[in-house]
Amino acid sequence: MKKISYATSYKVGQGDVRLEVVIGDGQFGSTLVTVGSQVWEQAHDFDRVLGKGVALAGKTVSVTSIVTDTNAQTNQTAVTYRLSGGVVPLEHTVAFTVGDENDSVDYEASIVLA
Amino acid sequence: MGSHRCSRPPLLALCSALGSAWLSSPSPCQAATDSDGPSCIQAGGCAVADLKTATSPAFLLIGSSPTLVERPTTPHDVAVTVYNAAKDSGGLPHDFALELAPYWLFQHPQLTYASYTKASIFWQLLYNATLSVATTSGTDMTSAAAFTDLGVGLRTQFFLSLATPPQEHDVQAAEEALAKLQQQTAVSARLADVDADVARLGCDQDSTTGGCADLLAQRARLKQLAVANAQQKSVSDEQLARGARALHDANVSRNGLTVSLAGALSGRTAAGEKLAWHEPTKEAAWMNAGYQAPSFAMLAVGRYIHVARAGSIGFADAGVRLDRVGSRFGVSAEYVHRWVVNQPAGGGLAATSRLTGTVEVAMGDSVFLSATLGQDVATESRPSGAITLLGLSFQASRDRKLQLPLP
Repeated sequence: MKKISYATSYKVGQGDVRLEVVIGDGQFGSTLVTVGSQVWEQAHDFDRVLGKGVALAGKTVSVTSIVTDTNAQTNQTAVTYRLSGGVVPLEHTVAFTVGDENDSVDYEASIVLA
Repeated sequence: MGSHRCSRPPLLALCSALGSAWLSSPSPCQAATDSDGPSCIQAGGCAVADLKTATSPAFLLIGSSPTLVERPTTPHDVAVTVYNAAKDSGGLPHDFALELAPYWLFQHPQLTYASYTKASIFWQLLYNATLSVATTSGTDMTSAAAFTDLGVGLRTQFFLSLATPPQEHDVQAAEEALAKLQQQTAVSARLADVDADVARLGCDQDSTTGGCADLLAQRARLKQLAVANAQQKSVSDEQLARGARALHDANVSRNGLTVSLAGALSGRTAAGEKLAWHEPTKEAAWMNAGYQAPSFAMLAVGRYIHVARAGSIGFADAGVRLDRVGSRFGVSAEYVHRWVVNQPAGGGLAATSRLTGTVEVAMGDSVFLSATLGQDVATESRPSGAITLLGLSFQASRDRKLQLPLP
């Protein structure tokens, strides 16, 4: 399975930090998010508050999304990461086109909260 | 099957005018006899299956059966493909075929699985649209002039689910099964990373090292999830692909109504011209509506086709087919009516109807007997053309052959 990695940092503020993970191109995917000792797993898209910025500063958000090409119209897959609640919102999309119908991709994002 | 007629002088002229580019059916003149009414064959076959929405309408309209079809998937690929084809031929490419899905030329990172699978009719029409472009080169039989025919077509469809509760349950179960495999894969991948971090930081020896407490707690939680999720220790790519195929199968097994639409145009460019739109020009439109249940299917078809070359001729067809399939037998009936919308110079083409019924019986695991009875009727001349066909087929596969045609 192809692994696609993405790493960045995000400057948090005082308020709640919200993470949204969108699996695009109509494909079927599941996402696992970890922050510190916390673990969340979610079929399809992930959208939740991770905690207060001050409590999260210095931790790393790890996002693992397994996306399977179930859309017969395209072999494109994409995962969009959206973070808000910090100094400025962050949005980034990572994409990969699989070679064959029904192939899967392992998207791994590592976001250091500063 | 049926009687092939291409009888009157105007029809012979029409056949000549249409030449080899008349749809993809055999030349209407090949089976000419001297009976009065025009048969189905003069505007292409007129079984319901012949009138189904063309998969690649542009190819069909110019009678092209390309062995190589370019299928670019990005705007850049489209530009390069067209540029190379035009460069190689010095203008309109010869014997060129291209098919693309305009919507999917671009990424759609915000289009979720839920939005895609529960799309409205409008969005389904957009998602399923395919554009086909083809050229075919030849020589005019009468003038001996070389030419290239260019066809452009568009096809799309939508599906209205009429799934039964068990069918909906099957789809949901397939989604949950695939999600579970993906979650197991994600947990395994994350666990491997955490194990590596734990080893790198020496957390197993000294849990007070910075970050170790969180990592060890996270590892413990991931192990719990791995145990809870695990039907097997690790998930292979093939298992994920099988899960995806099972989801696809569950989706396509739902009862529902499929409506497909297509249209195409074609025109001729003479040798030496860069690009033109001379006669014969053709226009065609198709519409199908099919209902599918596990042992019953209904397909209604409509088609309009028009050709202009020193005059014009146009046909409109409407037909319906019903299929009922059991484990040992299949029964089908179909009716097609063809109107002559534009008469050729000299006129005289009559509308035709065809009614047929077919029974197919499984004689054993691999032997099938079929019988078709029916009649062609030219409504403005004498009835003619009884259709009888008996067939025996053998198949090596042990799978049940009797099955419903796809809508």
